Amino acid sequence: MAKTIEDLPTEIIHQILEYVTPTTIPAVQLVSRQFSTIIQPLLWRHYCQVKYRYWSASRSIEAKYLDEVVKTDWKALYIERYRLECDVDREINSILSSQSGRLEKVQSITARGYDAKDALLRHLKASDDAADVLARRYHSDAILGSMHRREAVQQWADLRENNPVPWERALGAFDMLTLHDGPGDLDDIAHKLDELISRLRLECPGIEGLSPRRRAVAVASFMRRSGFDGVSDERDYYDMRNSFIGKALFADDHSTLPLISAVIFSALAQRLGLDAHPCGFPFHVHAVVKSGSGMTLDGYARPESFEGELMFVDPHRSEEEITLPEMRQKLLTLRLSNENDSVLVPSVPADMVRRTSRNIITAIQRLSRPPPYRTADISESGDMDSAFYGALWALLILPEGDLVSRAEQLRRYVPYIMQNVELKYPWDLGLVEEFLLPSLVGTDLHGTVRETVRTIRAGDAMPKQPKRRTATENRVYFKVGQVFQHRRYSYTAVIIGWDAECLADEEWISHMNVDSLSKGRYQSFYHVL
Amino acid sequence: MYCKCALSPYYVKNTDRCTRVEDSSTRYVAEENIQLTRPDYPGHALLTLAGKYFKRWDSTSHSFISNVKDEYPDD
Repeated sequence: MAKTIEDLPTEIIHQILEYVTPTTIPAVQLVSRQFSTIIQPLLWRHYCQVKYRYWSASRSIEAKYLDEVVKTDWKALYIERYRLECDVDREINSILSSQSGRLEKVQSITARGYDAKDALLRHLKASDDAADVLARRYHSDAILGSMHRREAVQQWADLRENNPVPWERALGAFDMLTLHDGPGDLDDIAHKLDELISRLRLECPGIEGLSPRRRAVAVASFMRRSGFDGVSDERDYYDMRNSFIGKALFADDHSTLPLISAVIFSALAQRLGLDAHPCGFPFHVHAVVKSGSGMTLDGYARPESFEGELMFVDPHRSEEEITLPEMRQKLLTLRLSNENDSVLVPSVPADMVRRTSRNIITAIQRLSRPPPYRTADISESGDMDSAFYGALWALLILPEGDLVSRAEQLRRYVPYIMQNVELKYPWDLGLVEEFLLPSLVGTDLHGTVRETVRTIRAGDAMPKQPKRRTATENRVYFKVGQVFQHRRYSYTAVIIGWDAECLADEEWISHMNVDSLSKGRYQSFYHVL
Repeated sequence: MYCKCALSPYYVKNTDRCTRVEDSSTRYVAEENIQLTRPDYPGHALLTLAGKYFKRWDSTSHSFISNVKDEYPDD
């Protein structure tokens, strides 16, 4: 019979102590030697797991959780993370309190990567009561967006360096562009695919022992009966959402373009040991499966010199195998026989990333209004802006073709990217410096971009000149924060600043016929949102 | 090298052309064109974008509370 708490079994004491908050642990540790030894390190690991969801990839936190408890100093990790959260809180508050110097503070946060994500999410969900709720939510979301874009660009930059990047990460990067505080990031995508494979293994026990051909068909058939059967009925084929692997995996309708179906198929098939890849068949991406040298698709051995066989699948349309002759026939029907078999081989992630970028850009341009625009759903138009901008980054990081054509692509996209960074995504300046500038060295763009970067940095570092309302100034009637309706264009807006007279350049003044206004150019002008 | 759009915030890229800002997110308005409203609710669109310059919406004064006091200390 237990007389004191210390007589209880260790497991029970652990369970009781899990209710103790981390900050009271030092006090509890002093209770007795036994308490002191029990608390390390299982409890500290528990707190790491429970309190913090997102960790930087460099920490390999998943591996640590699975490994023996004593291999990691969990207390030190918890304390380090706790301090990091406090630092990020301080930096966010500092960003909110002043307009200048924000760039450096934001970069300090985004440099921490996913270690800072939990803190940003906390501020993003600031309660309605907070005195600066709108500012807190807005800026946290903007910083988070920049951090997510960094993750995306990093995947594509890795591809540029010819580092191996799994298909689902190369394409999942696009989902990072509009993630905000939702699920469906690169890790979630990988876990979802693992989950699907587990389900497949349950449905088809012994699948590992099947021949490559039968395994491939099993995956295609599994995909189709699990709802991955093409574009959903409610969606237009060209809907932007069909290009996102994460959205396809997590949405109920699993709607996809053929390209994404092929990527999902390949990601699943590879998890079953198949040599499966998307292949760039014209107008409709398929998946190609190779048996591997020295073996047939039905699993029969051949001499090592035997190159292996190819088969094709189109999970977007059916679960059936398509043979190489059938594919050649399809090419003939399209009158593209001069392509030989070059479109019947495995594609590379960089190609599919570029295709997806172009699909997204086309999808957005097909809408009646090009960006920027306002739709009824402001968050959706914001997401389209972000997706469009992010897709351009992909094309910029992975230009294709020879040197001349790459230079031409850079020349086409760089001005648009820089304009967007300057006006809408200032926190991406770090991305420009790290991922764009190096690839521009030796071109005439390099100097211009570097100059713009320097101007933006200088502008950000400079404290704002206070504009005081003095009695002698020509009366500025309205103030910052007031909401109004434009008398001529009827839109609603809010005032964010003013000038005592019109300070736009002459071209704008003449274009807008400012001088023909009844009070002309010497009345107060307001900056509005 | 840069098109007009990259140089001036009053121009926007419209596929291949630089067009006048008629529908961009920040504009410049003459005082005589302003008609104050004092809405009970500023609308979802404004609330989403307002955080860039404002702390919160104040329903008593029917206006946003400034977060750009360093630039406009008297507002």
